[in-house]
Amino acid sequence: MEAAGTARGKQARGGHPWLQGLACGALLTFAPAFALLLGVLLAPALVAVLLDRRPGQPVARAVFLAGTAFALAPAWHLFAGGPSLGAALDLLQEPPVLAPAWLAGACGWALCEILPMLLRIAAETRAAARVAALKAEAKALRETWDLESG
Amino acid sequence: MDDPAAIATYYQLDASHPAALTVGGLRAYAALDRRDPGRRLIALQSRPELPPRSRALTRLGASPVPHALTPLDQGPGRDPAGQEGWFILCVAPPGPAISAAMGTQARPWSEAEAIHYLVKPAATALHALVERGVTHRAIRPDNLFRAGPGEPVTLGPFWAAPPASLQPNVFEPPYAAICLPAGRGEGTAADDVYALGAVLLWCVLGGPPAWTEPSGLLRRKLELGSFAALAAGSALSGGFQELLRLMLAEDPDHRPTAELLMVPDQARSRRLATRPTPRANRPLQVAGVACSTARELAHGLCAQPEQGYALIRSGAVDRWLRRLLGDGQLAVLIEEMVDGAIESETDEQRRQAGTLMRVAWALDPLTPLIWRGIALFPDGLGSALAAAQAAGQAVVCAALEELVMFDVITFWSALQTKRRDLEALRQETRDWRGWLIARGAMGGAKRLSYCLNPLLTCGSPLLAGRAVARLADLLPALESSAARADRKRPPVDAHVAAFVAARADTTLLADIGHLDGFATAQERLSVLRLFARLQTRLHPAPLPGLAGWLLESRLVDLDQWRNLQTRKSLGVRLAEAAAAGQIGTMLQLAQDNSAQAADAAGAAQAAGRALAIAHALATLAAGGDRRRTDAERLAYDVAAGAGLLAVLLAAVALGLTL
Repeated sequence: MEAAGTARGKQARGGHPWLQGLACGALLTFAPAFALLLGVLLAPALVAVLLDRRPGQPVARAVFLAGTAFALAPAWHLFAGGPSLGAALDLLQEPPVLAPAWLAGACGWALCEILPMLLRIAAETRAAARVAALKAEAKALRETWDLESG
Repeated sequence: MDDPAAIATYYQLDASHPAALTVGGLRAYAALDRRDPGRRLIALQSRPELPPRSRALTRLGASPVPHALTPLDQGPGRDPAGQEGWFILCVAPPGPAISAAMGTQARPWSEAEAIHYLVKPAATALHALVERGVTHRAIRPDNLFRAGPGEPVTLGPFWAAPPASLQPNVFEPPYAAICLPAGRGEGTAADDVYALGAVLLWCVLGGPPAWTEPSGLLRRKLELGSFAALAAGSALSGGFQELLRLMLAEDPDHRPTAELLMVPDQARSRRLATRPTPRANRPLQVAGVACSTARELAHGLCAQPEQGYALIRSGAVDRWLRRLLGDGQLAVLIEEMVDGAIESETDEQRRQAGTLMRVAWALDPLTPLIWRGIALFPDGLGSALAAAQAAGQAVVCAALEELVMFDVITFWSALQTKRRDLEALRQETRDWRGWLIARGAMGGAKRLSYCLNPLLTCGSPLLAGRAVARLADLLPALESSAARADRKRPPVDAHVAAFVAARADTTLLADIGHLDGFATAQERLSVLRLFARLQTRLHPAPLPGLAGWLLESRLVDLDQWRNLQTRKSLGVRLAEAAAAGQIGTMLQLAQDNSAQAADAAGAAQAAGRALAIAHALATLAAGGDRRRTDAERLAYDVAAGAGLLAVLLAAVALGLTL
């Protein structure tokens, strides 16, 4: 029961690497130009997948989604202009195509690094304020009542 | 007491005559009546261990008795040295005591003079006392006064000490002489006649003959009879001898009454048909003392209880009574008593004491109650107990307590065939036992002693020498001793608690509850309640010293008030009430039940809130990891959301460009 649950968890977190490998293989076989274009544009996401050891790989997910947003337009241009390896390479040589995709991936990574820190600072600040308020209330109680005896 | 010399309402010690006198065996001082400064009075100072006779003082009131000094008033006062004591005032004696006059003139009284100036006035006084239901019990040469030769005597004070407590044995019949001096009881008018007879002989013989050895004298009285023992060898007229023989008769019923003695010729003409006392041919030896009569044997057995009991148990007494005294009936009675005691009593020592008591009564029905070698009459129990407690005689105290605890008094009284008030006595002794066994400081021997002696002064060291015999005097005494007292301890000790329990009425006792100790707040509050009630009832004037003492001894437990502001304000208000000397106000502040309940409820609520805060603080202190995890999860969700939004916007933008 526990083993089955664990397997379902992995599936939910984007498991089944063999399925992903099969999709990649199919893409390389049937659309090598798209495979090349997307592989290069989403290279930061692929690196993040390899490095992110957190459960559910949240950093890789964020980098992937950010990169994907700037890979949609080049992929459409490749499709509209006739998908070929040459056309894919031409697109990749244009900086306005590669740079936004990689920059977006970097932004996704940066967001995953900075945002937890900011949110934690906010939570700790809130907790400290709560502690101070509680201590002040406890002090007021001690100054009003003899809580030791009785 | 504003005026240190004042006694009661109208009297004071005479500062111009500060020297102490001795009247009736007690210290006395010249005193003045403020209403009539020319009146010659004396103030007798009672001894703490010998309380005055409350019953006699009550019955006499302030109405005079002819030829006797009668009390005028009483109260606490200070002697010229500043020592406080209980004083009883009376008119000054008309002259010196006849013992003092005898010492100076060294001339015996003539028989006619003794009859006229001693017997007649004394009999008149005794008759008046009989009519008031009081005995004198202090007729002796140093307590009979007269202005000079040819003047009638005046009986000295007898109400300032327990009956016969200061009487030398020579003036007491043998059954009273063997008692504890303070335990001789009220006695009867016949005992006064006996004492008068002994004084009469003393006067006509010109002072003390060879009577001075107490134990030898008692032995001679038992052996020969009082008259023969005292008047042996004296050259007296026949009629005078006859009068003395009657007055000194062993059996009180054989003595003439005071009324009869007012006409001595009639008294001496009275003839008694008495049988001679049976004497054994061979005496029975009790611890080396030869006993030839039943009366001698009774006293011998009780004087030596161990040897006496051994003789009884061995049957030696029984055999001696049958064979040598020839009284088989008495032997059978004693045998039955011994067997009954063996069957009924389980404790060996009590069995021994009870057997001796019964056998002594059987041998001589005049014998007083004798228990463990101690003799007394039951109505002298209170004064005997007070004297024994003051002297620290633990053995005597224990024996006297046993008399009450095991109902010995009722049993002894039941043996007295003449007693008609047995049921009343039984009820009385039941009360005594109740006081004795009452738990805590308000019971025990001290309470019994204070109950039985209404004018016994409180022996508490807290009073610093003040004479307190009435409950109303307790608060002023504590007020005056408050400055020098150890104020960390409450102004109540075992003596004060027992004294209050004895003197307070049932309403007050029910109100104050028990004074068992000071461990709990309720017990301490009981002490405060006691003094508040006493102040309300008996002494409404402010008592700042005592109130401060009560406050400093922490009778009011401010710590039980949990609200600190309330505690502080209560402390201030209590201090104000104490400074004003109002103990009742202090009590009201200390036992405000509704406020205390509200305080307790508030404290419980505050404690609950404090506990919740502590829990919350602990949770916050331990929640660092959780907060970090939550922040990361939220951040990753936000990043993913932002990425997804970018994808959607890019798709929309692409669609719009097509």
